[in-house]
Amino acid sequence: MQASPSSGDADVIIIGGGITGAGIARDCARRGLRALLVERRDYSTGATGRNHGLLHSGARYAVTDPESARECIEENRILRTIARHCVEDTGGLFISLPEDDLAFQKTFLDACSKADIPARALDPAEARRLEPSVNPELTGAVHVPDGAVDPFRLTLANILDATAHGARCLTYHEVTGLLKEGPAVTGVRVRNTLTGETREFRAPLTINAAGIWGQAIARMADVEVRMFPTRGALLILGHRLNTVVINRCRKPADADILVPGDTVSLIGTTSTPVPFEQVDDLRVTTEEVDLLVREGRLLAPALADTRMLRAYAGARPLIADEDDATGRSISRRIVLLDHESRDGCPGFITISGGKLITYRLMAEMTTDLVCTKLGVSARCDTATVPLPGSRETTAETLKKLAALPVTQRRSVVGRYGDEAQDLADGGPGSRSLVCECESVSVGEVVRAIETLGVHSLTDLRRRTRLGMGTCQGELCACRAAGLLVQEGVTPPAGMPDTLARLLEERWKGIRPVAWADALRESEFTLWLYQGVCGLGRPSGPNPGPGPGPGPITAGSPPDASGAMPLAPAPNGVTSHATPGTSAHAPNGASAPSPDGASAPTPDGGTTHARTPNPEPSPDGKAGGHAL
Amino acid sequence: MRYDVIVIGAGLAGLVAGLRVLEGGRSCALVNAGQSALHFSSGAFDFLGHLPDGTPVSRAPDALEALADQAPDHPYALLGRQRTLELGQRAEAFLRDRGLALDGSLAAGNRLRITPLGTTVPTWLGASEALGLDPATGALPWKRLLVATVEGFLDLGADVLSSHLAATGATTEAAIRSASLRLPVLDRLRTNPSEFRSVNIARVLDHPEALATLAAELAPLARDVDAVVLPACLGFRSNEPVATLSRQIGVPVRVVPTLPPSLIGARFSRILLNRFLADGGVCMNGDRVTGHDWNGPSLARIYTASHEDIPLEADDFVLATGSFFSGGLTSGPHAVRETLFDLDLREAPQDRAAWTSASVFDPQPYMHYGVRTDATLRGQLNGNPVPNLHVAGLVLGGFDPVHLGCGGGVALVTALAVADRILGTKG
Repeated sequence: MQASPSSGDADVIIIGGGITGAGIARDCARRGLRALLVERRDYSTGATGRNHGLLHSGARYAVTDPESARECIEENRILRTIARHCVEDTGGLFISLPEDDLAFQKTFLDACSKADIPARALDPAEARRLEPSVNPELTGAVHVPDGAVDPFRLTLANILDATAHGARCLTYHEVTGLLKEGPAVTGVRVRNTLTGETREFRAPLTINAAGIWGQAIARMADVEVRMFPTRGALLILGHRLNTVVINRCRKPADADILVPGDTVSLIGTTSTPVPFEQVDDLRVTTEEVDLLVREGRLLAPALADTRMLRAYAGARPLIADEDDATGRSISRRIVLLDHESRDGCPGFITISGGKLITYRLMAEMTTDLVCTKLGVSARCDTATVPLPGSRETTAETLKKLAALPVTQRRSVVGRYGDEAQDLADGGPGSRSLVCECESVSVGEVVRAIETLGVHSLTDLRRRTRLGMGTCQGELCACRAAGLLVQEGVTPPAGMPDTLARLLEERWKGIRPVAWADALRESEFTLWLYQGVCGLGRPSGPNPGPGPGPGPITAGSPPDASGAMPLAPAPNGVTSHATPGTSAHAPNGASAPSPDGASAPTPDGGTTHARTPNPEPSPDGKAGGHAL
Repeated sequence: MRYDVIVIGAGLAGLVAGLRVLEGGRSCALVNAGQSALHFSSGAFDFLGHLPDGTPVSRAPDALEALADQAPDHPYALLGRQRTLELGQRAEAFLRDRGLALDGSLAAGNRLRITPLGTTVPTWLGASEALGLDPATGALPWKRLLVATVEGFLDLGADVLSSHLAATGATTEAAIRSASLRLPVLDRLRTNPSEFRSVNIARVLDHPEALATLAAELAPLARDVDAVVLPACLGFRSNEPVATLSRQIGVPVRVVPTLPPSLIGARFSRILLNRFLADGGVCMNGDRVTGHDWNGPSLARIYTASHEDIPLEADDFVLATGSFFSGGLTSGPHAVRETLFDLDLREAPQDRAAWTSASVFDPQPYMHYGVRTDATLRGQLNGNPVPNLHVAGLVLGGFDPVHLGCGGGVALVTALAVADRILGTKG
């Protein structure tokens, strides 16, 4: 490690807490740079958390984009070592169906071979033995080293290593402007979205790793980066339908990848161009769901009768080279823009494109450029040094957790790898399950609150998988909200809003798949929260007319656009519910107070702060989350 | 096997319909698929909390005309105001006669029940040991409260409850104390990760020795309060343990319902079912209907999973299978149907996007879907009433029981209405 090469608040400011930003923060911090990461919501809330969670072997791109394919297989091998607790070695099949041209298989095998991707043709019977759920009509299959990767876990592991090496990572800090001196970018202006507080940070270099939102960040530097937002919709199935990734052996198309991940399987994706105005509020349509089911059942017929948990969509952060009708022929390649040489804008770098699994390479390329500019000679070691959680083998960690009940032991080691050892010595109460679907214990929730920067139930979900199982948080949300109160994250009076926001957020993902058991479960949720618990809509910036708390619909009239008054008010102040004093307060606690009073909230928002905060609504407009 | 009446569904509506036809001297069999929605309920019965336009209802008798204007398909509107009220008042006595300890009446107007979040909801009949607000003053009947929960119990938090009780204006925050009870007698349950739920806790605490340890731990904490509030984790078979505890510590004890399982709801269900058996009814537990035969326009017989090819025949059948949650209604990606007989439904378009609303807090159209009937509450096939298939409870269409707060009332009123019709006393 060497002395810091610059003055200012940091050597490098990274905008974006997705996997790319987290990877850059880790790489920079490991090379001795003072890194500051700012994220407007929580980690992994953009495209990082809204994809298949596929550990690409590169085979999918072998024919159409050999360079990406080579990057994929190389990073695939690296992640199996440095992030083994985030990776599941499922293997993958590229199947040919009667309507597919079997001749393509030969082209595909040749291309894999050229890209150094181990690929082996299987006869249909072998493929069915390996993956019994596969469409029995298949005419051929190729086995490749695809796998599954948990993007939330992977991002968090990078953040943990970054902070362990001195990086500062601030969630719920939105960049509202770039600081400039002449043509140069010299820092950022941020707003704490929980408290409304604004601050400025200065550094010689600012990295735009904001994904699809990077176009807007670039504009703040008066630099044009034209992005091409395409929406990819996916469905989460209620259980693990398959144990091996199933792809179609043809040119990439809609809904042709079925990935097993943790307790579920995911089918996707679509590719629909969307206007920029929609990237904050991607909603999956009924038609997209029907298409995903129709195509997905060709991969695994049982999919048609499998329960759907939710639908979600992400916007791929692709840089548009040309106008393309589908967004699929645009290269998914890594784009690293040095705005000093490209646009005469020193101090500003954009990194975009690429894939979840090439994040480390993207971070290395970016950090190399950063080091060149800052005159730092430290070398990248992220390809060989394991991430926190992957430093010892599962077997070694399991031994240290012998006292935990077996299902919990497997769950926590699966989720945290060797970092799970912290959970070994909790008392009996800490083993009590909060989320029964995913075996998340009290101890795990408390640890996440204490050490992993949790500000809300949705943050907690991304840290622990709480509420990601079959019931989608129906019972555990209330228990977990109680723990957030107990641990001082949420004030007691804020609990109904905390729950209401979570329910509203979950509903966006459930609604497109609300039939059969998902509709049954939705009805139960409605009975439970609105009937048994008397929960009403969260208080927002538009409290209803007085006198007295309104009924279910009168408090905030239904908005024609379907948008909910969820977000904190523009001044950053989140209003608290003041339960009604009327003798007939229908939804008591969360109806807006008669005067619509808003209470300023205490400070908070830094990564590991435990100051009580109101529930932020970062995902109020988001369609859902993967995994 | 032949009975005068076969009731399909052993939730609130099915149990009450069955009890009433037994009372009228008919033989009755109940097909009971499993735990009903009562087991997941608040343990209170709502009659009408709001009108469809959102107006809160303080006295249901005064609101039924407006309800009929706003929701002409509501079962109350089909039956008419007077008949609805008459049936509602009969239901009050009917349930008390069969052993449910309930406070409240239509005559007295809506009470306010306290929810697991500490919020208040208008209701009709509540368990007599449940904490509620005085309907006249909107205040708690006591000034100084101790809210005590059980250490490690996640389904009701003392802090949240206290905070919201104070915020209702029912009393001041200063007058509410929270406590967490250690209760080592529960340690064996505590160490089991998924067993620490209300019903399991009650099974332990109801034992006199365990109850004595609870009293011993509570007594010093309860010295200077007017009442003690506990989660509903006490009184599996009856509310007697709550009364005993109150005697032992010398102050009134009230409970607040927890997240499911609902101890009070499950107790009510058990009391009614036991009474049904004691009155001579037959209950086919864990059974479900698998098929049926028509006899002209009427239902001739049903077949069940347990009885395979032995049909169950009856003069009259009651369909009380509940809504989607209970399985009375089924949906696929493009259709909603009544599960057993494919009876005509009210509404239920094929376009799935129309089933739901964008906000989970807006009324959901699917909650209105259900079986279409006229005032006789008989199911219909292609617009023709099935003369001997009577429909009660939430499988009926035309109303949103959550939004209106009327699920318990509709179940009870329609159950008594169809039983009356079978017994020939009305309609």
